[in-house]
This record gives sequence, C-alpha cells and structure tokens, in this order.
Amino acid sequence: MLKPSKNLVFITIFILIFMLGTFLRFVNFTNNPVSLNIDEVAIGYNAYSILKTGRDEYGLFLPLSFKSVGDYKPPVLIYLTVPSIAIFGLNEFGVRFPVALLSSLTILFGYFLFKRLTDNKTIALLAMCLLAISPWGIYYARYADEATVALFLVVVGAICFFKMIDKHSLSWQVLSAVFLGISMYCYYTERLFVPILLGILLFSYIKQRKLTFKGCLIFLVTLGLLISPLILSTIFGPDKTRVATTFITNDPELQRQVLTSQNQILPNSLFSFFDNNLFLSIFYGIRKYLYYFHPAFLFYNGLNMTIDNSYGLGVVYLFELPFLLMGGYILIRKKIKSKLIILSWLLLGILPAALTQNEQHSLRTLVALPIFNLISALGGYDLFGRIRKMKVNYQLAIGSGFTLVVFILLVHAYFVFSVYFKYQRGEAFMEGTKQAVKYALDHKAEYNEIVFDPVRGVDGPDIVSIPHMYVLFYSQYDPSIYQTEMKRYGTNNQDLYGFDKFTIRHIDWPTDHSKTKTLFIGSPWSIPLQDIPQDQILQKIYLTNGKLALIIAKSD
Amino acid sequence: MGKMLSKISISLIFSCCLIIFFSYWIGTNLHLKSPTPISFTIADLFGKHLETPFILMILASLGSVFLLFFVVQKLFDSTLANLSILIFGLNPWTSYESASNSVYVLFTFEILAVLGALLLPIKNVYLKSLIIGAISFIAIISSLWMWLIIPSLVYSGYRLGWISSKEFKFVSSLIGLALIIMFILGVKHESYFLRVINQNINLFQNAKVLNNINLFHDQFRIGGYRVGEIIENKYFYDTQHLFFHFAEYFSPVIYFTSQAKIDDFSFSPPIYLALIFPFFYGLDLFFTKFKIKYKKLLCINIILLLLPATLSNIQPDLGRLFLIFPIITFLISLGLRGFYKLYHQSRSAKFLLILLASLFLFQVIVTMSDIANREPIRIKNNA
Repeated sequence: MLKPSKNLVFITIFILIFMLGTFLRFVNFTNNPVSLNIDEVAIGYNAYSILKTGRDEYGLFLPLSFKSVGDYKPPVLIYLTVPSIAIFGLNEFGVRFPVALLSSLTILFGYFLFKRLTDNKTIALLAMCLLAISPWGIYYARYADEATVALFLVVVGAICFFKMIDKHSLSWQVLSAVFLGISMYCYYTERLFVPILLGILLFSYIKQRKLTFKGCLIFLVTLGLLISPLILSTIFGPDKTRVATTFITNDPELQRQVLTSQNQILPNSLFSFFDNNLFLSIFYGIRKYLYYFHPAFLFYNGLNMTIDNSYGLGVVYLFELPFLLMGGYILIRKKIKSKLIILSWLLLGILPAALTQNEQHSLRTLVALPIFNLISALGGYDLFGRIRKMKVNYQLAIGSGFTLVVFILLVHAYFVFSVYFKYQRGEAFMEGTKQAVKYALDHKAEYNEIVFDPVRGVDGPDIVSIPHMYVLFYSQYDPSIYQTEMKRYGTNNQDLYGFDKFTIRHIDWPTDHSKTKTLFIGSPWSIPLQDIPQDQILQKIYLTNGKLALIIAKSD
Repeated sequence: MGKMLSKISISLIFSCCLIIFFSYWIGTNLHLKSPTPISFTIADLFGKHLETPFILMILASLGSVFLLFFVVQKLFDSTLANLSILIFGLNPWTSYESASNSVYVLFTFEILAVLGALLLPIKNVYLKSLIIGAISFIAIISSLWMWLIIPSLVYSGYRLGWISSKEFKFVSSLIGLALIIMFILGVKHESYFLRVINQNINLFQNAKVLNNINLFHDQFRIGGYRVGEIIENKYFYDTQHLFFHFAEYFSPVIYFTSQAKIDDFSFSPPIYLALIFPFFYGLDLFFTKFKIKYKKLLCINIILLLLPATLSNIQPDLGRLFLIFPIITFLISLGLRGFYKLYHQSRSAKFLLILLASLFLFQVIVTMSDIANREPIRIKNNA
C-alpha cells in the first residue's frame, strides 16, 4: 500500500503523463497533417450524410459497411464521427476530434491494462509514459483512421475481459464481449487478431480453471450474436471485396515473383510438387512477418513520415532499443504473470499485416503498440534498477549520457513531425485540394462546368484522388440532394463522374481548352503551363515544399 | 570408438560433398559475376587460370568444415561438431559465397584456422606459438579487418585458458611484429593503403544519406529552425547510419529469409527458415547455461566479426557477413541438440521437431529446384 504522499506523487505523475499525451495528440492537429486525406473526407462526408439523413452517400440506411469509394469502409469510426460533426461542424476539427480523443483515452486505459498484466504500478506508469510519447500512437492519433479507434476498443475490451476473469460477473462478461466485438467492426486487423487472441486466452484460462463454463458461454454467446452480421458480411457481403483486394496474393512483389517463376519448372515433376505458388506465397508471408522486426521498421522509417530510405521515425524511439532488448529477455527468461498474453498479443498483432499486401504497414500493426510499450517498460524498469545499484559516478555518467541521447532523438522526432513530414508527405494527404475546391466553390456561378482531374502528382501523374468527395465535404453539399440527384457517367469506357456543375475526368487540354465557360483544375501533367496563355491561368497551388501541385485554368 | 569415428567421418564427408556439389552446381549452373581484381591476383599466384580462385574458395570452404569440426569438438563435443558442419555445408550461404569467389570465405577459413591453432594439443610452447603466430601473420597480411579480429581471438583464447601466458606473450609479439610490418608498409605506400581503407570502410560514402541530410537541412532552414543544426547535422545522421547498419545484423529476416539477396540476385535464403527456432533456442541455452566469461568473449568477437559488414555501404552485405556464419551454425547446433533432448520429454517438442524437420527438407528441395530452374534467369536479369 502506498503512503499518502507517494500516492499524491503517483497521481500527479499519472495526470501529467495523460495531459502530455493528450497535448501531443491535439496540438495543431487540424493543420498537421497538412490536409485531410481521401479517407478522412470520405469518413467526414458519410458521417455528415448519416447525421442529416440517416443514410450514406449512396442512400443506404445505416449500413454496416460503407461502400464509399469502393473500399468498403468499416462503420464504427463513421458513426463515432457523427456526434463530433454535429457539435463542431463538417471541418478538419470535427473529423479528427474523435480519433485524437480516443487515442488520448487509450493512454488512460492503457495504464490499467499494463497494471493488470504486470502487477506493478511503476512498470505500468512507465509503459503509460512511453505510450503517451510514442511516435506511433501520436502520428495515427492526429488524423482520422480506424486503427486507433480499434486499438482503444481492444484495450478497453481486454481490461473488461480480465475483470471478467477476476470477478466472474455478468456485466464484465457482456461488456468485454461488446467492446471486443465492436473492435472487429472497426478495423480489419482486429477481425483476425481478436478471435485468435481470445481463443488462446480462453483456452489458457479454462485450463487454469479461472473461467467457469457458464461465464465463458455468456461471453461467447454475446460475442457471437454481436459479430454474426459481420461474419456474414465478410463471407458473403461487400466486406469480402476489401479482404480479397488487400490479401497477400495481390502483393505486387509476390505477383512479380509468381509470374516470373511460371513455365520454368517441368510440370508433374518432383520439384513442381514442392515448388509451387502456394508455398511461394507462404514463404513470402513469413518473410514479411519477420521483416516487421527489422530495425528499419522499428527505429528508422516505419512510420513513413519522410521520403523513402531516409532516417525519419520508426514505430518506437531508438533510445528504447536497450529497453526492448532487456524487456524481451525478461519476458522470455523470467516468470512474468501474463507472459502468454503479452507474447500472443505481440506476435498476433503483426500477423494480419503480414497477410496483406504492401511491404510494411505501421497502421495495420497498430494493435501491437501497447505491447511494445510494455516490453520497453519491463526492460527500462530492470535497467534503471541495475543502474541504481551502481556507484554514483557510473550512475551520473550513464544518466547524463542517456539523457543526452533521449534529448537528441526527441528533438529529431519534433523536426520530423513539425517540419519534414509536411514538406515531404504533403502530397500523400492531398495538399492543395482544399484550396482548389474552395476556389471552385467561390467561382461556381461564373462557369457552366467545373472539370477536376482526379490524377495528380509532382513527380508524375501517379496519385489518384477523389476530388468529388472534397467538393462534397467543403461545400457541405446537401446529402439528401446528392443521394437522389442524377449523376453523369462516362460512355464508351470514358472514366467520368459528374454531379451538379462538377465533372471528375481526365483533362485533355488540346481538345478541352475550346470549351465554353469551363473551369479546369488539374496537375501540370494535364494542364500544361507552356500551352496556356497567362490570362487563362487563374491560380497556381503549391505544396509546402514549394513544388507546383495544381493549376486552375479557364477555357478560351 | 570406431563407431563414433565412423559417424564423424560420415558427417565430415557428407558435409564436404554437399559443399562441393552445391558450389560446383551453383558455379557452373549460374553465370556468376566477372572475376574481381583479387581473383586475378590469386590466379596469378597459383596457376594462371581464372578457375583457380573458384577452386581455392571451395577448398577454403572445405577447410573451414574440417576446422569448424575440430574447434567445436575440442570445445564441446562431437555431436555438436557434427551438427555444426552439417549445417555449415547444407545451407546455401557457404556454397553461394564460394561459387561467387567471395574473399570472405577465405577470411572465415583463416579465422577458424587461428582458432584451431589455439586449440592444438601441442605441449611444446614454442612450436604451438610458432604455428599460431604463423597463421595469424598470414591472416593479418591478408586483410585489414584481421588487424582487429586476430588479436581479439588470440586474447580470447588466452582468457579462456587455451594457451598459456608464455604462449600468449610469444604469439602477441609475433602478431605485434606483423602489425608493425603492415604499418610500415602502409606508411610507405600511403596512397595504396588509403585506397584499401576506403574500399573496406565505405559506409559513409553513401550518396543517398548525404542527399537526405542536404534535403533535411534545407527544409528546417526554410521552416525557420536554424537552431536545429546543432542536432540535425552530418554527425547525427552518420551516427544513425552506422548504428542502423550494425543493428540490422541482429534482425533474423536477414539470415533466414531471402529479404537480402545473396550476391545481389539470389532468392535462396542464406540459412533455411526451419533453423530459426533452433537458433533462438540455442541462443537462449548459450546465455543461460554458459559461463559469463564465454558470453563476454563471444559478444566482443561477434561485434568485431560484424564490423566489416557494418562498415560496408551495401545494405546488408551478406558477403562480409559470412564471417559470422560459423558462430550461427554453432548456436543452431546447440538449439537442435536441445530440441532433441526435449523430444522424448514433451509431446509439443516432438511435434515441433518433426514440423521443423519437414520444413527443412521441404526448403532444401525448393532451393535446389530454384537453383536449377530460376536462379540462372535471375542472375541474367540482374546482370
């Protein structure tokens, strides 16, 4: 039992850590990331549509999966954004607020999870501190993404699950099932992670006779009832499309390997029995899985906030390396109360990401974040204990050296967040689209048609955007009109989409420039500056790094 | 005794045959890169034929097998020694490096030769010291890296009681003499010596890092953070770069998957994936069961053996990393023997061992198929 004075110190530190974490998640979060990305505007407008009409942009009543731009978005974040938009309006703050808030609350609940897993208040507080300042947590808290919300739900669900084990009460059984069930609706990673982790936990607790048959049954029935629509949707419904498109078999590198390996082995030979595409995919998946433990992902550029192959930020700070190594050693060698849970959580947290395409994906592995913090804290606690036993001179030398390293790395992290990120990744967040849309909306009355080219990119026309969603978002277009009005589609395989005065299609300037009273918005790849008289160029929109992103021009 | 000897000779012969078979197969099936300057030097020295370095590297690999067996048997037992050489021979790494004339195969042989000499059961102090000194001398004049590695190995041998203090003093003076000669030669042929240093330590010549530093500098200057230069400078990024290169070699994905390509083209993993579990188990056994003195010396030598790969601008440099392979094979053998001991005790260990054995055999077949069918195309595309 802590003495009152120690209790006060503990509570003060606890509150300070929480406030620091909240501050880091909220400070200037409407401007950094520099712009709303395509998912954020889609989430925002669908939430706005639900708020106004109870239907999504396609007119579906309270759907379980939002078709959006064909990627079938999970529903939880969109529904959570509805009250935020009702209070703060359809803007950057309204869209990003729920995620930043839930990420801050994850710090709070994280402490209770760490405390339950380690039975040690100091380790729990240290892990909470690492979670609060985690670059991984901060980065994904600052824009609207489902993974952060899902992580919050998993953390709260896990706390309820442990309460269920300790207290055997009905309310905890139901609450745990509800939170974990909703987390599966929230993000695709959790659809694989939660059931397998639960399987391991239930098996382990039943074996230890800590979970009664009745308690287990109530928990499973509640969870089963809650997720049955999701199972149906994933197997037969629209979610199947998303799963199919992101599965590892669609990985470009794997496909290249499969294609280049065909027709090189004699059919029906011994080699063809062993050496086939199935096993190629399995080995590829294992390689991807192991690559998540590579220092490049962990310490250098796992967050992808700076240009490729540069020293940006990894998912954990480099100064955590000795903590992680020591923590890993303690976890494997020493008797830790929840060793199985911690190890399973870590190893399973990375599994779903390894089964999908893309090389390394820090968002898809976000569920493993608290465990990285916990392992670091375990190691840090042990190392600090060892240092405290050393002579004062050594303590001073190690302490000052470590503080200097931490200071340098935190300053670097600050530069990555506040400078390099917006200079180097503005385009990934569709920087400039807001200005272009605002211009178009301000001058809408002057034109018969406003044509927006969806393809952009500074280095080449390689980024496909969804300008119509930005138009809907920033004009706060009436969802009831949008759901019912006639849309224009292309004929003869022409990629075209139009509503109101807006047309989203490729701009072909040599033919388009002669159109009457038409406004064109596109990148320099579709509106060639050298071919347009200066008086027709109405505005040039630049990225933060000074590169020309979009041109607004009018027809002759 | 006879039975044991036959077991030993079978594994030795089997391992050697594997290396010859794989190296020859890879060497003839694939059109490996054109000979390096050192290949010409070796060819000049031995027989005026460009096949000579290739044969020399295979001989060095075979020599390494014998030496690895001798060292592990002397330090531990013949089971571990047998397992170590089988792993050394069966994994593609040895054969690929031999077939591509990697000079690091030769350096590995030299390191194992020094270790073997340290463990020679010769009672005559001067004879033993002379043998160790002579091998160390040859090793030191063959590479800059050996200037660090060989003294460290000899010191480790002394600390572990493999050689007496008298022998240590005698060997140290011979090594010192070799280092002085090399130093005098270095001063006399300064430009050549500097070129050798630049070729070996080329980590900081990476244009990509320099470009990144310039870009980052520009951006925080424009952003109005000039004070950041105190921290965000060349020294900070170079230190990060150095540390990253070093830390990378502790990642299992480098060794057990084809994430890093051997010789820049191959899809064969340096070590078969199934051996990852015995490796970790072996590592665990080593750190829990062995004396602290062993652990400390192993850690120091691992750091030194990783130095050539760390200071290379190839990321990761599997050629230079080959120096560490004998240690990995030993740890895997330790883990395998540990697994085998568990085999009769636990059902899950039995299941795991059978699973690993199947995976291992399976990957051997897949790798052979790959070498036969796809690797020639890959190396052609890479060229």
